[in-house]
Amino acid sequence: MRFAYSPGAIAFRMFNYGLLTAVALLCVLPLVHIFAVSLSSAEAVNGNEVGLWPVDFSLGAYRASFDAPFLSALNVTLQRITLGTVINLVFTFLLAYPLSKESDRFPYRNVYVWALVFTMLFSGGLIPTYILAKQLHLINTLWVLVLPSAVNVFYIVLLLNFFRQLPKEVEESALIDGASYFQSMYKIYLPLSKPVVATLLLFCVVTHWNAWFDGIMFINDTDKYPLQTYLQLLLQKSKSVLSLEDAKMAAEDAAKTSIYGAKMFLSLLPIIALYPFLQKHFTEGIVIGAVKG
Amino acid sequence: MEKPTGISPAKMYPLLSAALACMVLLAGCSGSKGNEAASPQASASASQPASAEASPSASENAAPEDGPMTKYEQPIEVTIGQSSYEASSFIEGESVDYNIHHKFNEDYLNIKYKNKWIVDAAKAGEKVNLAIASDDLPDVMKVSLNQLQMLIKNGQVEDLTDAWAKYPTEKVRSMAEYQDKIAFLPATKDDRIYGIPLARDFGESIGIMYVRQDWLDKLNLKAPTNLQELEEVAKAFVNDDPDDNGKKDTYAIGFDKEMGFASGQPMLTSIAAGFNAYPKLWVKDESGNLVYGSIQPQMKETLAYLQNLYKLGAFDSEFAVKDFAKVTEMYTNGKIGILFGVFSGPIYPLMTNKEADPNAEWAVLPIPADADGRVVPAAKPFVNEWIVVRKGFKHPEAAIKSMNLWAEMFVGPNEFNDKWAEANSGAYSGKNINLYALPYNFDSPYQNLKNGENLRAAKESGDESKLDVREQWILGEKNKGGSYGWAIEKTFYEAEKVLLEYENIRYSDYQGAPTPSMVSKSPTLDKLELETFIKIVMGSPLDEFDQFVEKWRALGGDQITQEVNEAAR
Amino acid sequence: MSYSPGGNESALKLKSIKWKQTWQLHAMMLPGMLFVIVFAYLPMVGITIAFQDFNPTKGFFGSPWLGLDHFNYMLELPDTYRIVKNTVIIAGLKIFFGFLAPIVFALLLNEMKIKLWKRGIQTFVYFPHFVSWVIMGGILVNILSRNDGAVNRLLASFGVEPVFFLGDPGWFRVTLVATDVLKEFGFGAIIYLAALSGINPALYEAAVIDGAGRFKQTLHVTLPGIMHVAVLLGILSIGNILNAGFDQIFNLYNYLVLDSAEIIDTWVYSMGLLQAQYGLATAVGLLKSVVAFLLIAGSYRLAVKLANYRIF
Repeated sequence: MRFAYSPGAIAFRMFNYGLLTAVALLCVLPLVHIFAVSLSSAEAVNGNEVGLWPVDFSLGAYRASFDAPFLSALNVTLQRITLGTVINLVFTFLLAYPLSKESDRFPYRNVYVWALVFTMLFSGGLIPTYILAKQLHLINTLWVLVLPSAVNVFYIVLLLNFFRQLPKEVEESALIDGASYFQSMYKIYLPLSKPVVATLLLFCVVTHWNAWFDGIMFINDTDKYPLQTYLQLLLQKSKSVLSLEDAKMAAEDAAKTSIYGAKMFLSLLPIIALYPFLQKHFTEGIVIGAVKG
Repeated sequence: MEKPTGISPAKMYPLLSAALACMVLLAGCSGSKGNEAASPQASASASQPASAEASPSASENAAPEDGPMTKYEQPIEVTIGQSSYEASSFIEGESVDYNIHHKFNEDYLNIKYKNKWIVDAAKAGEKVNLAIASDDLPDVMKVSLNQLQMLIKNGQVEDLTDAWAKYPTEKVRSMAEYQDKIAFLPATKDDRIYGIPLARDFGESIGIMYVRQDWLDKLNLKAPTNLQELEEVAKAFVNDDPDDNGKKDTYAIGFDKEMGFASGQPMLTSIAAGFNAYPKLWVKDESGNLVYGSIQPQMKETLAYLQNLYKLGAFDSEFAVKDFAKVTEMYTNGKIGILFGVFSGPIYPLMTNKEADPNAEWAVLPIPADADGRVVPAAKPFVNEWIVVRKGFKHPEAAIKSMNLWAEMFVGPNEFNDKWAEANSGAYSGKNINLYALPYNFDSPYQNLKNGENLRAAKESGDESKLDVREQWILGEKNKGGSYGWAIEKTFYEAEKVLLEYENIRYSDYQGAPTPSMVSKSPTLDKLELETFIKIVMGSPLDEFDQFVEKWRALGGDQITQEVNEAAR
Repeated sequence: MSYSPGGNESALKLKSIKWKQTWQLHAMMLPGMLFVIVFAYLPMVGITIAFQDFNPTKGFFGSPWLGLDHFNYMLELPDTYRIVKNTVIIAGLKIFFGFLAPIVFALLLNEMKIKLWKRGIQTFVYFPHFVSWVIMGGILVNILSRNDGAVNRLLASFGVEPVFFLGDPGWFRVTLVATDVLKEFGFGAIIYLAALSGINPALYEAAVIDGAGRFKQTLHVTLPGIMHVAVLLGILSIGNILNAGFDQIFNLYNYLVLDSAEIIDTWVYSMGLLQAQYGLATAVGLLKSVVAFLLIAGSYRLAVKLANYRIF
């Protein structure tokens, strides 16, 4: 192991722990605030009195949070994550593996690669995508939330770089013995990719979890909204409060602020809880990497 | 000095009551709900259909006189883009897809409404933009001023001139054509109408001054009636510890980061009116030409006054970075003593303050008078949304018929109103189901004003029997007490009274569609304007105002002025 | 290059395999490329909006052609220079610090031995990524307040004058960059942490034997181990030079800081409020894409020439 006990090293270590802990606490403060809001009374929140600690403690917000719209939005998001992540990962593998081969092995690979990179930067925008989705009858279905983003060039580039770092010997012998590329990808590369897959899995899940804009534009029924779309709308109430109804609704919203806080906190929980579980997959190194040196 | 133009509520009101009275009498004559029989409708339609004579067809379904609320022979379907407000607004078994409004339209008009999409109200504008851009429109849609222009330019909407000539009832016509059909201007092109205004309460943009009465009492002050007195009161509110906590932590006036323009609150405009300055409005100068209010010398005086107030500490020194929601928090906490708000101010933002501090009391007053003792608040158009019908839809008049039905529902007395009132005081109580009126909700511009007056009269005379259904409901809410009861009372018994007593209100003298230069230059000019104003208030030298005026003219302001004057001819 | 254990015979066999089975590689590409053609290339026809006076009823091929009018309009505006300058400065700072912060953090974290503490910190720093700017904005207005915000109170205890973070044009940019980096570095470090875990421990042992201290180890083992990932992410992030962060700025900006904080995206947004300006927005988007593409292609070439790194 690499322990060092010189005074410089110890000082550094103390400084390091201190700095990183301070930064970590800084990062967690917004969450603590949201949590405190969710446990406070509406009056306190409206008066901007809640800092890191609840004021007028009450659990009512949590009881009221599990209403139908919240749960159905959660359900939609869970569905899109499951479906979307599977689709993303499958396509990522199918495209990254061939592209990790050199041009002598895989002619025209450069054409493919630049064709993909091009789509990362250039886009037709919302309008033609909407028209296309309408023609394909995808509007207002779960598919419209997962298909347009099925191929993610960033993930592909990440994975293909990772594959490139693996030594070719790894599959040479298998190929010579008659294995197909398919088999090699499935039986050799896939098992070796655990850390990257864990990373990609996290990215896929997080991306689908956070997406809210497509929900507004492509979904026509509010009960089919994904979670973040639903939450975004809770927060972004109309800014001008003029008519009697506007005023009344704003007043009603004011009474519900801690419920909104609770919903937000609840929606953050699962995604935050996911990370520690995936962490341990990051830390498994690959032995093969050693051969490359 | 430009003369204030515009309508005084007190003056036009008797005319309207006369109109309403006539309608009531005529409704009594016809007796039955709109039906196929050729009985004279309550409406005096502008023109009678030429096909009043029955067609020769022998069947019962001979073309009857098709009037404002004639039921359709065959059910017709109309798709709309619907906004949703809160899931809790529906009773058991109903939803945004099917509720009491759908029932009324089916039963009385044989129209089935379907939602092409449902989007939360906060994002409805973007959804509509997408629909326009992809040419995927519902049959009937609600659009903003700019979306309306876009649709007309692209030729995506039906010409409604004939339908509007024939189908609206008097009630609906009077609401949409209020103020001399001014709301039709932006919807008209080459003398043809392409959109129907959705009327709102006319008082929504008119400033009212709310002052902490308990602070005034504690400091032995009278409520301010002009700008001089306002300054005195402001100084006291800042320096004399009106909330009695030993700390100098109170402010006099609440401004948000756009001085009220984005949030719709009449912050700057209420004070400017005291100098006869009308920022962002077009006003006629001595020669009768239209000029832009924000660059007039009176504006400079206003800014000087505000700069002085800022120095005295009357404003939160950070107001320029806070949006209205943050400012509301300060009101809730009892940190600000004066609100320049609208008639619904007691409900929001003041109600949260009342809840937090039941001892808080708010006086409801007119905005400060000018040097001649006149009070002339500024007002924005009473319509900011229009109904359009997509090109090619076979039944454009369906939307109008539904509007007729809705007007009958919320303005009685008639059988629709009875049914509606019954529902609203029963199962639908407190659910704001009026927001889901089909095809889209609209209000009478003077409804609240009238309600306020009737309620005050009833209180005086002690005779509550003459109150109509809505007024009864309002009375009921007030009597329930609590902070909402307090807010309702403030709104109808005091705020509406202030509105009624305004003798003159100033509207912009240009209410047409945005001109081409407005479209291309306004974003830059508007930003420059607010940036300059805010900086001057916070201490920049007043000369910067003159520099701003020059810059404004050079960067396109003169061009806009020219176009506006041409368009107004 | 390929390693041929059996000499020429295997090499030949390998070659024939290559030709026989290449179809498999193409077959693997096929489904994905189909999706890309349908969902990425087909909609690109919408780019024509940037050159037209788009009328939805006439479609992409029937609307009046305007050529470069939208682009000219942008260039002729008085604010264009200032807006582009702001965008580049803010985006540039964000790219620079946003690139370094996750790396530095990952390296520092790597020095932590106490597993539980390390895991805890790793988890905590990734939270802010999930808090939207709508909420963050509200929180920041509170704590950065000049009058009674937490940060200024802290500064006051050190005798420092209060800073108007959100209202002073200079400080506003600092605030933008600092809060954005703080929000995103934790999530951005994930890739580096994964890469760090892939470094062979044997390499460290070898370095220790050679007498290298912590610092030298970091220099010669750790950094090279994550270099490839860093170059990849660095090149990709350069493409963002015109994306200064609409969400954040939209939720935080005000009239006092317009001069230094108005970026291309907020400007397009304010134009779009007055009318649904599809043409302008699309033209701006196209411009951004072209710039990003040139930068990425350029830095890709540089990386290949100078360091023999091929990231694609």
